[in-house]
Amino acid sequence: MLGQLRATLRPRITNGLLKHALTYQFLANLGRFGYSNAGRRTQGIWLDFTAGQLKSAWQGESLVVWGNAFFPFELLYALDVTPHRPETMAALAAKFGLNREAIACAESDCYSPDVCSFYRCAVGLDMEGLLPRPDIIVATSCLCDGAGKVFHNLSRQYGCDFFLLDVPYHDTPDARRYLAGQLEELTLTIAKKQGKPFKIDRLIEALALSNEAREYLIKANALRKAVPCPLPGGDAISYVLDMQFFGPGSPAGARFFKTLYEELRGRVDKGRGAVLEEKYRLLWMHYIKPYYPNDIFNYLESKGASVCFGEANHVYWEPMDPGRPFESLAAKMLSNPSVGPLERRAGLALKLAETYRVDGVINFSHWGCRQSSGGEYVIRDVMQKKGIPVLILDGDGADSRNYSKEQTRLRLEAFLEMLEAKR
Amino acid sequence: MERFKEILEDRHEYARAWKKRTGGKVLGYYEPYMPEEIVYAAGILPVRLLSQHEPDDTTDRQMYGNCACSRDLLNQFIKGRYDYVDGLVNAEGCQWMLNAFQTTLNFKTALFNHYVFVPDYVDGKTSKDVMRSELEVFKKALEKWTGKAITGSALDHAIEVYNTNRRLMRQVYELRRADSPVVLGSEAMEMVLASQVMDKAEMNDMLRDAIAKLAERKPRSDTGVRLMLVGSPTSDVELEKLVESLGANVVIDEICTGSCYFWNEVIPQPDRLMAISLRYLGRPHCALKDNNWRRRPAHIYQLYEDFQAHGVIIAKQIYCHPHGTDNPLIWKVLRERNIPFHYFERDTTLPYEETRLRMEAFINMLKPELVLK
Ligand code: SF4
Ligand code: SF4
Repeated sequence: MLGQLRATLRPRITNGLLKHALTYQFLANLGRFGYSNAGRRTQGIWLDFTAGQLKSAWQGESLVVWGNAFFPFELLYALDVTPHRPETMAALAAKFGLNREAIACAESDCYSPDVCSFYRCAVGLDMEGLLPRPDIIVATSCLCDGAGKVFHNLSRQYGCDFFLLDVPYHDTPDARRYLAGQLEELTLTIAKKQGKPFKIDRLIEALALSNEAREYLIKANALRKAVPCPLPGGDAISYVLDMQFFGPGSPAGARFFKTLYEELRGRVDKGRGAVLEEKYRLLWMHYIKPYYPNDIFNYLESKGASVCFGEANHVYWEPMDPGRPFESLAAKMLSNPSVGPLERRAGLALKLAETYRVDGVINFSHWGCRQSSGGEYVIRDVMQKKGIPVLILDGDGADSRNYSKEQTRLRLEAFLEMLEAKR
Repeated sequence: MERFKEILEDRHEYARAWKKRTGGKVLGYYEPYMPEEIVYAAGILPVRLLSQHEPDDTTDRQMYGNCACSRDLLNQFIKGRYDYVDGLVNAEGCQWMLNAFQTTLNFKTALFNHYVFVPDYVDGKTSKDVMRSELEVFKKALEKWTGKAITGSALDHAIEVYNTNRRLMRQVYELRRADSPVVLGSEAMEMVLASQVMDKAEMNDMLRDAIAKLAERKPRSDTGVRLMLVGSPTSDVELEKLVESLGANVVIDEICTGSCYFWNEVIPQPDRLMAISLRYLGRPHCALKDNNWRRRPAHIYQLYEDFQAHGVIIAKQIYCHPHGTDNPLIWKVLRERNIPFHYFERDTTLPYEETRLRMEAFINMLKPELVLK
């Protein structure tokens, strides 16, 4: 009886709290003061940043613009709108166990299970009323086909404007011009909707902050070459990556990466690593990892295996030129190694494996990932030719129904044994 | 009519014979946005790579989670079915096909290959210029490969041949509007599919002949419920035949290997590459390219009305994400207009009994519509 009551009330209370700006005010304060005082400054900045954005989105403080991970958020900060990140919400829903219900909701509304689970989850959260109402939705055509269509469906739901940034395949001068033109058009469209003139100085400022974040991220990445590696691999592909996607261009983004660098510097100086005794160094291929409770990283670390780097954290773009803001943002987007011919990504994988002196590579094969699934065997062949073992680890980033603890552990165990035998 | 079926079924043989006869090159392509006119003007035979029903026992170590259509093409390459193909082109479509293209090139390293970027934002202000510049690059690549310039008159000729083909196919489809059509859905689909693997000039002669013969046919009295087919591309006519065996007829389709392939023409203009760009950007959008404005639902509705269908079958390939993410809006629009539809997921092969049961139930449900319309 009590159990039943709890089961009925808990989602209602949770859902109620998640729609309330005060909840996010509380979380932001927790990030700002609680985490920082507990010596977890980077996590604190992330929490403050994320919760702060959610608070202003729920309060509708300014235009709410939804965007996907590969959208240049620098633009949104320059426009002083409130960005909202449905993919982050999907990952958080997975972390806190809200994913299953959300995914089931989306599947009941014609989203077939072969649509990426992050999008199914985001659609479901929206159906449950857990995402703040958008005024505009923007999406990029990269890295995968999913974002544009799903985001557009959502925009139809709300009757709000939608804009797709079409990212060409080849990085050529024509492609840069095409993309820069779209960025400019979009900026003016949003400014018009806001009813205020667009200030180029604000964009210049945002690019400077983005460049600053980039500098510190490069420095932080360099520290990950240290043995033992100072940053846990799981952290690198969660809040650090989230900040890498959505932080650049904001003061919090710059502060975050500076703090990250300082924290890692401190750990390297003290010889402290994510793994006590680092026996194997691994490279993680894919932009994501499973965000629901799972024991992949804990297990690896317990066996002395450190995921010392991931392709997602690599800084592939040049510093942006504030004098040519739209062209610079276009260049940043087009220089992503996952856009364009597969050789770019395979080449990067090899370069990172050498730079970070890894013993092996885990290629996380997110179920049905448009961007990575088809190419992973090509990448494996390239690596194996150089004698670098690769494990293609099947799984799912947001849909915990596709995770089997035992099976995953078995595969990791076999892989580590193989690395051991290779020594 | 039989000849279209034969060519479709023996498409590899057809291409080999063409090569032998002409000494020309064959270019395989993956997606419907490939500007065939330029290839044809270069004296090359463009052949759309179509999946077939051979067990896939090869691609497991190459691809993961992809749709069967894309895996099947890789399977065919591994097994040497396309050994006559001299080059591969992928005009930007879905990522699964891109995977098939990239993975094939990983071991077919000697093939000529090219990637044509096609804007996803097809209605963008500068999209046509971008597309045109892509076509220019593509044209140069073909010229380099063949060692021959593609002249303006060769392009004019190719445009004319392709436009004629489109007009003739439209004539065949127009016959399907009739209350008692003289052509069955399966026959019409066989023609469109065959035209994608044939030399268009030869196809045009065959089509003229076929249209003359169709004019002599008596209208059929057994075509019953009129259906529209929407969804992922197909490479066979099994579904149409199944429906016909149940006393119904697919009178119109909106799929990229069907009507969308030939629906609009190149409108000639002095800048030939621009004319071709505009044709491809202006074709009925495939699910993947139907982005900012979402014209597809309206086009589907228009066809449904024009061909007086009683209901719509939406057939999605399993793991087809362009259609998987496009469908919610299609559903919404059909529901808003009270259009009966049946949605199901299929593989390159059709699970026959299960599909028959579904179709039977749907067709029975639509029978009252026959009286009402
Ligand atoms: S995980 Fe893959 S399929 Fe999902 S959004 Fe990212 S790139 Fe797309
Ligand atoms: S069936 Fe769908 S996913 Fe597969 S290749 Fe065709 S469009 Fe792409």
